[in-house]
Parts: sequence; C-alpha cells; structure tokens
Amino acid sequence: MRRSRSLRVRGSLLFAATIASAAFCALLLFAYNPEQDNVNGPVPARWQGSATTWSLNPSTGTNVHTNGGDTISAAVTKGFDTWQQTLLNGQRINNLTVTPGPTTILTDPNSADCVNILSFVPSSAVSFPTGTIAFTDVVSAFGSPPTNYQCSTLPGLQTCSLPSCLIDADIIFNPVEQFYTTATTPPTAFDVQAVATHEIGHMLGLDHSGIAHSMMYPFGDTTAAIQERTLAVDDVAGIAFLYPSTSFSTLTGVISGQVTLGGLGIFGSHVIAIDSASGAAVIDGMTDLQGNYKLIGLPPGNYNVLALPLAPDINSGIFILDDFAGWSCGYAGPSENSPPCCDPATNISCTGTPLSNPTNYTGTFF
Amino acid sequence: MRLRVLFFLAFFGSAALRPCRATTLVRLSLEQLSQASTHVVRGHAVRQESRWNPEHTRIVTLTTVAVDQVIKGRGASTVVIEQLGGTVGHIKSYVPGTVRFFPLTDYVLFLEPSASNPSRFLIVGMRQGAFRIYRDAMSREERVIEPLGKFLSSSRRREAPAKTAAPTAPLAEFRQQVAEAVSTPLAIPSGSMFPVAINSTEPRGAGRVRVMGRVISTVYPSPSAVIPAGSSIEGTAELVADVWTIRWTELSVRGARVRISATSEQPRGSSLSGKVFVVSVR
Repeated sequence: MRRSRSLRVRGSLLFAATIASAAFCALLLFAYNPEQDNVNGPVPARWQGSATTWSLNPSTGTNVHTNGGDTISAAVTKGFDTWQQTLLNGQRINNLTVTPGPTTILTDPNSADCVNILSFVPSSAVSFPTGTIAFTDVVSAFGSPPTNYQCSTLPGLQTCSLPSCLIDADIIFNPVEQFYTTATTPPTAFDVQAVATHEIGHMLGLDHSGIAHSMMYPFGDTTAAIQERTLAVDDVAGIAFLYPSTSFSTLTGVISGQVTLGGLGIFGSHVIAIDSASGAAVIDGMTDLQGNYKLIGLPPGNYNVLALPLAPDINSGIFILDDFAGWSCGYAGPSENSPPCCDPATNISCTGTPLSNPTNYTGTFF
Repeated sequence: MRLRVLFFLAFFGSAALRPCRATTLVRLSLEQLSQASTHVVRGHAVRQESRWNPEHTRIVTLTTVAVDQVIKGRGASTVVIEQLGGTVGHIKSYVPGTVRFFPLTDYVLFLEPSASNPSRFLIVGMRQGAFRIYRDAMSREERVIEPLGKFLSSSRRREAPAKTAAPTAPLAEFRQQVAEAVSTPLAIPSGSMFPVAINSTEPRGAGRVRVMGRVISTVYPSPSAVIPAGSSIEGTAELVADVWTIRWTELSVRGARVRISATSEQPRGSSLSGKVFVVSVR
C-alpha cells in the first residue's frame, strides 16, 4: 500500500452536507478517537514522555472472584502489558512505558492527586449508573504550553509542555457487578482483564471506538463465555498514534482524502478503512469541517474506504461523536452478530450481508 | 467460599443473555432502561455547571433539565443530573460514556436517583439513557438519535444486523416503544439467580418472621429485564427442625412489585439479619 495517498471520495452519497460549528470540530478529526482538548484546535491528550505509572488497590469485595484464575494484580498487569507490548506484524510501533507503582489503599477517584489508581472498592460516595461496569476518570491539563498545574501529592507546580497532558487517571470497577479472573466468565459477569484492558485504553488517552471488534468499543451483544482480551488493529494504531515509536511511520500507512457531495466537503462523515480481502473494518475516523479525513496507522494492505452519513439532515440535528459508534459491521469473529463490511457485488470473498445503506458508495479506493 | 461457589454456579447456570465483550457499559434494552429508571422525561438543559467538589478531589457537572413531559415517575418541573467530570479552568476531567448536553436541545432521558445524593439524578446506562431529539429539516418531523448508534429495537430484535448507518427514528415511534416498555410488567424468568442480603426481620408469631432484604448485585436475568442492586425483596421465614426456610415472595424494582417464588435455607443459630443468600427463582 502506498502511504499518504489522498483520496477523493466521489459518488452519489445519500446524505446531505452539514454545516457545523467550530465547537463541534474539536471532536471529529481523528480515527480511533483519542481524548482531546481544544487548544487553538483539537489536540489529543497524552502522557508526557510517553510514560506513566499506576497503583492497584488490591482489596476486593465478594463480587470479585479469583478462584482458579489470576490474581487481581496479575490480571491488571496483563491489561497494561497488552497495550505496552502490542505488536503490529511482529513489530512494536509504540514507545509507551507503563510502570506499576506500589499498591495503594486509595479507594475513590481523585482528579487532583496525580496518582493513577485502580480500585474495586469505591466508597458509597461514588455513584454508578445502572449498566456501568467500570469507568475511568481521565484528567488533563491543557492550554498553550507550558501550562502549570498542581498535584495535591506533589510540592509546587507541575508543568505540561504539550498542548494537552494527561495528568491523572483513575479506574474504578463497579462493586455491584460480578467480576472474574478465570479464562471463561459466567454469562452474567465480566472478565477483570478484559474490562481493565478497555479502561486502561482510556487511561492512556483513547476514547471509545466505533469499530465493534475493537477493545475500545463501548459494549457488545454477545453471549460468549470468553471475553476479548486482545487489541484490534484500530486499538494498536490508536495507541501508536498517541505514543509513536520511530517505526510507526515506516511500518504503517495513511489514507487521507475528502468526502464531497456536489462539490462540497461533507462534515462529520464516518469514514472507515476496510480490508479489501477480509471485509473487516480496520480503522475509522470522521471528516472535519471541510470534509477531510486522515486514517493514520494502517498496516500494509489494500483497503476500501467507506463513507457513511452521520448527518440526518442539512440544517439541524447533526450527529456528533457523542451520538456515534453505530458501526456494527466488520466483526470477523463468530460471536458478534454483524456482517462483514463489504459488497458482494464487487468482492467475491464477501459472504455476509452487506450494508444496505448507503449501498451506492462508489469505487474501490486504495 | 461457599457463597462464591454459589455465585459461580448461579451465574453459569443462568440462561441470561449478557454482553460479553466486557467494556464500560452493559448494553441495555429499552425495557431495561425503563425498569432501571425512576423517571423517564422529555426535557431540555437550561443550566449546566462544572465545579470541584468541596473536598477538591473530583470535578462534577450538574445539568439542570427543564421537564417538558413526564413519561414515567412523579412530575417535576426540573431535575438536576449529576455526572462525574467537566472542565474547570484548564483542567478537564473526562469520563468516557458520559453525556454532553447541548443547550436548546430536547432529550428523552432515563433517570435514576444518585446513590450519594438522592436529590440528584444519574442517567441510566450513562450515554445509553439520553436520546437526543431533533427536527428533520425536510419533513419537519421530530426524530430521536439513538445513543452510541444503538438501534431502536427492543431486546427481542437486537440480534438483527445493521440495516442503516443513520440510527434515528421518528419520535412518535420511539415514544410508543418507550410507553410499551414502561407499561410492560417486569418478568423474572424461572431460573434467575441473584444475591440478596437480609436487612431486617419482624416477628410473625412463633417460629415465623417476615424478612426484608435487598439485592446486592445488579443482575440482568434476561435481555428484557434488569434487577438493579438495591432493589428490595421480601419473604417469610419459618423455623422447622432448627432450620430457617425462607420463602421469598416479592421483589420491588424501582417501586414496581413483582411476585416471585424462591426458597432459601439457613441453619438456626445466628440472626438472619445480615445473612446473604443466592436466590433462585422457580
């Protein structure tokens, strides 16, 4: 695959152009959705020096079951290792360093202490809406660098030398959900390592992804006993985008282009790079105010690019990232009931039900 | 240990459907959203404020919503929604999954009281429980946007593959679905299991006591049912041959009472109060 190849997606896309405010623009520029702040434009938040530490509160309640499985510490450590050591085609493309610190007795999120904790025993002061498995409180300091901020556990002022620095992230597991560390998990419970790996993705700066088989997808509908603990390409590319090694730019490619309708750039279009052989959605992103998109971190290969509407109408009700994550095709595994993202009319290896809307995206894009 | 084994067996034995790509959120059906809500309202945000808590440990965002229509719950002209996170100065606290309200925009909201401050509300299922309303420019029809791209289907239809990339629906259709979900009685399938703790007992004659407890884990016994932690349960305990036999008869979820039939046993000796059981519904 040639890198940095621009595309101009033409065709009779079904949706209308949208006009968006600049405030919305801050949400919509990147694939795999890094958490972002707005400093003269959207900027992803990162840990300075590509490094951070974490501390586990090893206390658990009766809702956490470790018999026959890993210890809590082992499960969580594997979650961090998953992000730090992940490879793309056998190569490491991120330079992230996460280091376990001493265990902690802290139980609740504290956005001001600059201590990153994982807790299974939050106090009653922490509220969980029904349906919440766990959450991560991700704190960033942002502004035109350098930006000073305070940590309650450190003397003096700290300095952020980036437009947006992650300075604190606490992962809290819901004490009224059931958690297991065994390889298989009862259908009404959750796998500690899988949940931790997802939340660690937030801790490291990733928001939810719209690709259903990615680690950062917010939820799923399967009944499989084995919960996914590994990363999808979208996740691997996302973490490498935030913390790139020197090989990131040489081992991955970029597809960029513009989505237009009637000659006008389309804001807020959902753009997905689809492996042309497997039909799997690989990396997604959204277009900016001018309809431009850039899908960064793609492994070598051939891709179709699919543009989907996010705008229900011209003047109002435009979709924003908060409404998004409706991408439900492209899952390759057996347990997620979604079709491959391909068109049987043009791809004989496409065996599933193609998307019916829009069906008239045109061409094969490389 | 025995209790943990019971939990394990209980959950493996359950026929419940649950999302097993464990991430941040349990995907909730419209029925489950409705059951877990004390209030379902249509409203719009009129005020929003992010601030540090008094201990300066967390940023909390309070959104005041003017209620235009009550679909479930007692009427209130405004509700205050509490969400962790927000921006104060150049510090941003962000919890993925929380709702960002837009001014002058209507929502259908599924709400439950905050455990830490019952005068405030949480959004059930986080972003899943906030359906943004817009008016289609062409048809002038009001429509709702499915949060997180979830499809406007009840749990019975959620296995259907994606048919559209635009997850919206007419508001009238959605309202009808919500009304049906709100009015549908909660059904606890046979074989459902959930852990309960006895809070208190009341004498009911020789060798008989009324027992009152609460569910201590949120349980999803079917795709169309949820029993939130804290739901109350009642039954009668009878002492026979030095064994307490507890017959559970009623479960209350957000004020909706459901008749159940389940039995637990406990050897006589210590007080029943504080005891934890795994209840298996017949």
